[in-house]
Amino acid sequence: MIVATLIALGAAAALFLARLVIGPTLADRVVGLNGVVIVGMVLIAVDAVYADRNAFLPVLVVLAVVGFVGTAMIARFLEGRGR
Amino acid sequence: MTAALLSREWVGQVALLAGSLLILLAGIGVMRFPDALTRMHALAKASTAGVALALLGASLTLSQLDEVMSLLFATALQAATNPVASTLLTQAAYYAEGIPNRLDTVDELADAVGRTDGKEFGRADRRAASPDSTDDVTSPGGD
Repeated sequence: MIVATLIALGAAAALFLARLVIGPTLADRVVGLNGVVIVGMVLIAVDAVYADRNAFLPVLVVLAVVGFVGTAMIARFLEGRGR
Repeated sequence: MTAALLSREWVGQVALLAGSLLILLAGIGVMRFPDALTRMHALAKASTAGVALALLGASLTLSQLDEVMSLLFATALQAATNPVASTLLTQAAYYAEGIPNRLDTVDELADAVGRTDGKEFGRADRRAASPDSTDDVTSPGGD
């Protein structure tokens, strides 16, 4: 079960990172970065489930907040600048 | 509860795997869709559902109160903020100069903001078209 979960998350992270690198516009790169953050959040949850370690769970909450604020900031920035 | 096949850990791990598969689906959509707006569509829907499913499954397997509460709080936060952030980013990409958006059939936001002809770039056209048509620009509902 953990192998399938980690394979799916690794493939998703590879796809998001590829979009982050080759994205033609800034909006595509923001989409890729948001996806990488989401994969990191689920990896923290996987770590908490399978390794019985709860030290990283507040990082999950912080990542949720910071991801939203960062995306909103880049959206405001993108609306004025473009591309 | 009684059968080992339906134990809490099993259900939680299956939900975690299903959430990871939804995020993989979002990754495939982000990689293969041809346009920035469709990529945002794929990321917003699939990753919101995937993160909610995965974190709820993880909170099923855990038993301490602080772990479950941080997972539930992160789930609620993500489910509340991810569609809002995606909407902000989509509107910014719609209005930004230089990002082509191919809307094939219906463009309702163009009617709402007063963009008349089917040009590809938003903001400069909207500024150029706004002085002659001042008051028929109805502000879009939300925001």
